[in-house]
Amino acid sequence: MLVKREPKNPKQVSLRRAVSAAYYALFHLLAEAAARQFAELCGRGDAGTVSRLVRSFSHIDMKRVSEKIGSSVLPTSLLRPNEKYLTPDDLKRVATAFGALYQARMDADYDTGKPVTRPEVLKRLEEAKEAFEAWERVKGADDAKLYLACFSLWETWNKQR
Amino acid sequence: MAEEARQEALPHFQAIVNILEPDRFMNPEAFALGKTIEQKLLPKPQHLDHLRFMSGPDSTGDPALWIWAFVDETDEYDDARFLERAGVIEDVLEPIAREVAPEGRVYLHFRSTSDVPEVQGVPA
Repeated sequence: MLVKREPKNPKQVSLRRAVSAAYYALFHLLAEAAARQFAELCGRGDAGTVSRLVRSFSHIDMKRVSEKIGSSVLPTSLLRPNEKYLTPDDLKRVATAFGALYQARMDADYDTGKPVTRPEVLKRLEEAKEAFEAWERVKGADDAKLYLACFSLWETWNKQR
Repeated sequence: MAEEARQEALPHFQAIVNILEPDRFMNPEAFALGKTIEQKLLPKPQHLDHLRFMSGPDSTGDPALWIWAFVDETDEYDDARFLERAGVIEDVLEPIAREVAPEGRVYLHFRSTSDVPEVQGVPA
């Protein structure tokens, strides 16, 4: 909606808010899924607990984990001997989109020296929409559950022992 | 500097500018990575007008390469057509960029040539 608010001559503020909103939509989708996964494991899947756990996730950690998973990299402790992990295509789409939207949101919100254009934002929103659709298809898979767990446990699982 | 010396130096300076294309490659690392990507991208994908490159740390301090791909829009701009053309270019460009810059994050941006960034002050 924001990106189409002024179709002929869009305002920078509308375009920037559209990018920011797309990022936060994907952030909340994934952070809530991760929070619910942990909460249910502990037998505390009520809305209040999930909501509190959502706040424990770090945007930067999620971005870094997404880049790793998007590049088919797993934490070392999870790799079996001689295993070459390959992230499923739908999960790769989600993880890659998250990393790209994170940076796009940082640019949109804080780097006013880099004006954004309407076509550029449209492409970014399409990327977010495709990530949502891909998540619907992949969210029940073990790879997706592992991705969510990595938001909190990557550092622990990636230590060399 | 004498006018004569200035005139003598000007073509050499212009040749250097033409080689380095500072409007497309914003720093030396971007020049090296960008030129390699463009070589591997040949023949240039249909509807790709030109690319611009910038490298440096991203907002989390990780090494990154930004690529702006300008999609050729000779007719009147159309959202659906732009997204279709950008998607075709992305499918070719993204894997090459990741192969050339494996250590860094690659951020792709797609713009239309109907947007004139210089006029708006977009980084060249």
